[in-house]
Amino acid sequence: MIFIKRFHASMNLIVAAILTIAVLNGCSRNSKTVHQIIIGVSYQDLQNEFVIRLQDAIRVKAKELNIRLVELDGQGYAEKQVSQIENFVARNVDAIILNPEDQYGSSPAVDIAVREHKPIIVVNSIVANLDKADAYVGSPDVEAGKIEALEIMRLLNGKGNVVLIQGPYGHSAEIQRSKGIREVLSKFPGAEIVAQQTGNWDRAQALSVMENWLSAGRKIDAVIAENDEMAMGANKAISAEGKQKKIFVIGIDAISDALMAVSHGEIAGTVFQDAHGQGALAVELAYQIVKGIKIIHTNFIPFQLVTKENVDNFIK
Amino acid sequence: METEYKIFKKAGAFLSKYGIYFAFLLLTCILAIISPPFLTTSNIINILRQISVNGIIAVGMTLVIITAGIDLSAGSIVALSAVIAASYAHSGTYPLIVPLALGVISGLACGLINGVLIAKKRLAPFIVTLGMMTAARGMGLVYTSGRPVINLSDSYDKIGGGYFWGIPIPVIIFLAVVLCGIFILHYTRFGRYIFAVGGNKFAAKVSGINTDRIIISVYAITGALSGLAGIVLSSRVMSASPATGQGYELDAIAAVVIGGTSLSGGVGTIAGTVAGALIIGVMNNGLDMLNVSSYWQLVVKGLIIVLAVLLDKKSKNA
Repeated sequence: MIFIKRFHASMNLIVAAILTIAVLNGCSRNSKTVHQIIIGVSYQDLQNEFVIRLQDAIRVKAKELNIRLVELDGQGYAEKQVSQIENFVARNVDAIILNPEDQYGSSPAVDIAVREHKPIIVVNSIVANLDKADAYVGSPDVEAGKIEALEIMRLLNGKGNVVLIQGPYGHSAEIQRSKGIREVLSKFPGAEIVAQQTGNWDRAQALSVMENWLSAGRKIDAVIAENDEMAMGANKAISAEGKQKKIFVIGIDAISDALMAVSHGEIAGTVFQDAHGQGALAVELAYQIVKGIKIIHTNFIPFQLVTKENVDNFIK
Repeated sequence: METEYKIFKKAGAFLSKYGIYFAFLLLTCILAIISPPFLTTSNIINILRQISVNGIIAVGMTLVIITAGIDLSAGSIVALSAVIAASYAHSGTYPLIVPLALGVISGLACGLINGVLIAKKRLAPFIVTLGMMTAARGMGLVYTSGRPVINLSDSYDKIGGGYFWGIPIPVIIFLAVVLCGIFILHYTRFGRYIFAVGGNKFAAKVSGINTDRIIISVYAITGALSGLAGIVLSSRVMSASPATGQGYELDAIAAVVIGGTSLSGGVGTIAGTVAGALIIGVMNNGLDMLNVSSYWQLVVKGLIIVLAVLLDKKSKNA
């Protein structure tokens, strides 16, 4: 499946380019209000539930501050985000919020904004040239990986066979989360990563991978998945084998059905990433910088471990 | 001397018909030797269940490709049908038949649009289904606001997770689709017309076949089967994400082509497609079980796809 994903890239690109122009034209025609601040937002991928929650938060805050948004979707491609930033510059927005898809691929977007003297706020994931941006708001993904691994080590008393279901290879969140997980596990001599594979953030793919590992008959004590979709897929394979009480599963994102699964004791836990806090602060910072207020560069919003004990605080 | 030659020729003819099945057996044997748990009943069931979604789409795709067409929209239709079906499958709302019917009908509708545009408006299948690929993906996102549909009923869960006589229900659905496909393609007049349209469309038309109707039908069937695949997929993971199914059309095309169906149309079998889907499934499963590094898995998968087709081509030339 992955080996053909790139195939879509070129075709999607053409369609998106046309849509981008259409959207930007549409916006400029409608601009009648004079002193309203305009912020361009480039999202990494609006097919991802977390990014949609981020968008919700950004929209709410923008409305509160009477800011007009021009929102574009990178659809999972860094190169798309770069041209979107160029379009924002051409459109003469007051500030840009970038939610980068790729640590390296999206970094030219920041260079363009800096060159054109447009304030740029990076939100959620990072870029390689983060220091050039005016501000960063996010939660360090390395931490999320560490929190997952530490919780699993606590449950296993520091020893056991762990399998890793990772994000798409090369995606910044995958690189950072894997790094955090490995860093913690390497400190426990009794713990071993017996298998690892990408699930491409996808539930069905993680389900197949987990089924295949269980079929291989290897002893598995815990599954560390780099997002909740994949944790839920792995959990489905485990419960089909009736091993739910024997294998601990943990994910990241605190999506609604993962929270339900935590409260029912089906999975061990998840890690809550505060989309609302990140989105709201990003808009706030963009607003302040346009108004000439000095802002802090690096703004971390902490992750929180969700287990059966505190899950009720997160279920809405 | 002459008898030897005859034997060689006979063996050649045999291979040409069954080359792809030998490739599959060879792969199975290799995996069984290096990984003993590979050939257990539970793992075989496991593989069959894993290929059922791709297999269901690939049966439809075989019909389309035999008419010298292509359907790039299958993966997006899977996602659209999955979210539509799932949104009517919350517990205590509608009886099971409602999400099932809506899933298949929405796929069928997309397929019909593809077929009508291709047959009546004479547009290239590649472009029409590329448009549908993008539009259906968008419709799924609009319908769900980009969020996955969750909290599905237990009866809906049975489609993907249930068993009948110890056989997983997705596998039964897949087998039923395969049997219907074999019957329609190889034992009915409609099936013969599909080959005729793909072999030489002009000749088919002159000899009185309603080629438009055949073309519309194959795209509609593929759409409906993609819808069915969407139902199986969403019930297997107990949620339907509008982002799911990306690249599924290409996996299905790979299964069809590995199975010996010609992309230029007129030639192909459903059984070959099943073998193609099995090769892909066995490969995914075996490489995971052997814990092959995932980077290398991609390289190996690419090589095996090309090798399988190469072997098939070589045996046909023999």
